[in-house]
Amino acid sequence: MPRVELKDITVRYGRLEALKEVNLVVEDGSYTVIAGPTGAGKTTLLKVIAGLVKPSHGSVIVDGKDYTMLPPEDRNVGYLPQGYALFPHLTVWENVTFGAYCRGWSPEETEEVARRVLNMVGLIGRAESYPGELSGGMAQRTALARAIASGASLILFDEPLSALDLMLRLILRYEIRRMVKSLGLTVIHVTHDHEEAMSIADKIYLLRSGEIVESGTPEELYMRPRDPFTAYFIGESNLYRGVLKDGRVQVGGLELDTAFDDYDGEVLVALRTRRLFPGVKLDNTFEASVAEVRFLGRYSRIILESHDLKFTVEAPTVKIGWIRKGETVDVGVKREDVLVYPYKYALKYPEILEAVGNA
Amino acid sequence: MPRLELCDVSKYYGRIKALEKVNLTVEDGEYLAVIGPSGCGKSTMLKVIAGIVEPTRGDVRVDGRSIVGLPPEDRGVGFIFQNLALFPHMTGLENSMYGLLTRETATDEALNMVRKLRMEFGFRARLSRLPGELSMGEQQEVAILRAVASGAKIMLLDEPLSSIDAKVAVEVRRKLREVVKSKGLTALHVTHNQEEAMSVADRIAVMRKGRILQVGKPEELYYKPRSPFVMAFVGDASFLTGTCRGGRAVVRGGYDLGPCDMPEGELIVIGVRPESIVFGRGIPGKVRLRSYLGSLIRYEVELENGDIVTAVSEEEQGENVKVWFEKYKVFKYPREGLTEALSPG
Repeated sequence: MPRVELKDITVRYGRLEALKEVNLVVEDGSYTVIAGPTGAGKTTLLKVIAGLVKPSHGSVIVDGKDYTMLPPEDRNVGYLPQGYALFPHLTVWENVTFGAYCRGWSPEETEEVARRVLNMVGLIGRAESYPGELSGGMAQRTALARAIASGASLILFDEPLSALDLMLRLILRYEIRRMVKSLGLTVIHVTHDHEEAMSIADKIYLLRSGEIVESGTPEELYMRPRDPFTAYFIGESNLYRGVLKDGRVQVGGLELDTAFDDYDGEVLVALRTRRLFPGVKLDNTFEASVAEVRFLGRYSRIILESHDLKFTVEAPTVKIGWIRKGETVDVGVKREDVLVYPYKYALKYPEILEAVGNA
Repeated sequence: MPRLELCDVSKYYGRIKALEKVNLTVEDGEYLAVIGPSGCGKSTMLKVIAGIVEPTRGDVRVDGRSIVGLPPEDRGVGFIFQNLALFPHMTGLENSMYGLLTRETATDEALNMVRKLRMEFGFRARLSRLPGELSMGEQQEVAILRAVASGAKIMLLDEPLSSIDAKVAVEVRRKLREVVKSKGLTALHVTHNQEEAMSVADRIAVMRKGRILQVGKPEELYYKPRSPFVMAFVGDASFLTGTCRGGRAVVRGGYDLGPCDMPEGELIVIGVRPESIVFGRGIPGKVRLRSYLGSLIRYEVELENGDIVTAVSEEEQGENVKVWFEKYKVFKYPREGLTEALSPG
């Protein structure tokens, strides 16, 4: 069963470095997500694993064997590229069972897996259709089903949901995970959608400009991001410029207690929108006026103003349904949820500096 | 000031019914969002209002007067498209002034108006640059400026944020609503993204297969959906099938969930929101999937009776749990079957 290891992978296109010394481990049976903004090198990374791009440097190890020079067809990898390619002359059913057929599975086994995946993607009723007769969303779901049923034990998904409507995206992301877990497959899934990454990953590798910024479980990256880019990209944060001294940080007219005391000076302060608790007294509690309340369903979004700062808060509607625009509320934030980073580390991320400006 | 009405509007392409008897009123100054899966007819509806497509039947009225048959430029509507459609060879400023100049506004007056709007909205787009040199967020600002500066009082927005990075889109949503509200515009915003609709709109219309299923405030659609499709489309929901027995909702495995206001023996669908599910008592089940969401954890639980439900909790739950439904919605079992009733169409 597949355990994938990338060692010091560098890919150069002329002078451009698409990947820079990427190290990564995907445990057997795990669901790993490579997340990052457009142009981060995510697709290149998948192609290196699939064997479609030869790294300029470094090695691809699968179950201890060196795959770096192995041709793609010998890698036992199911790959769903971003622009999915279905066989136009084969029906949905034939497309989905193609991999199993090539591997010589028994008809019974093939039929059972094909039925399951087509049921999952809601296309069992269209099994006899040709790709040309399907909508874009249906074609994407067929391609997804084909990759899962390909018979490979390692599956690579490149943005498998991004072409779909949000509703389908939200439903399918969980179903994909359920399905591959029940089949015992190992998955590497590439996405620019941080919520998608958080929802389904066992482990996330965050990629930016060809480099791994940080890796961890969704919870680790949300609660304790070590890099400011993680605090910015994974989950939503309020970002400010502040000054840290003796473990207390000064932001605007506000002073907050932090869990960091090994640095004094200018810092980037990140407050998670879901780690600010209105109506709760915590390590840090301050008064804020409610500028806006927006109902979003399970969560509500509140804009608060205090000490010349604006805070966006997202909290479960059942917890904050009582809050009205124009009121004054106490806002609690735990010491360890006040994330601070030396400001000089934020300077290499223009997108963060822009977001700080917006606050 | 403009009140926009669609009266029994149908649009057929051969045998395909893109719109079927659509009735919808957008009040003066209202921000209304239309959501639905792709192919539900929502873009066709915008095109009918803009005058790009003529309806097969029915009328479109602005303040009571029909605008069907008028050329697009005389309808008093501004349009923001998915791809923004900025003129690539014109600077941000020239793009923004375009509508004014075609109406023969003096150049310096147009210039002043655009600058004033930019200030008023707090936009930071560098207007001296070509669209290709601007970030997506800035291009979006230019598109907004162009639509608003044209003087149109009705704003039609067709998936305006779908080509922007999600991080930037959240910020632009807020700007869009602010602009529409501060200028007293009437806005109709089409999107497949229900979260986007929830964050910008006063009211939302849910469409499927060319028809409007329900119109209401975000809260109404979320708490009082009139069909399983609307319930699923505006938020996370789980559905169980059951029967109404003696005024009680009874599901597979014989579990009595509580009162049910349906005729005896009626086949029913029970819809439940994740936050209405409590842990610690009720139907036994096993946790199949756990997702971390920031302040909540989302659990998919396979119940003893085989049904799968989605719940959220602040606390860590073990593998074996018990769950109970504190609130639920009861629907008549749809004739076409539950799977079909929930499918995008």
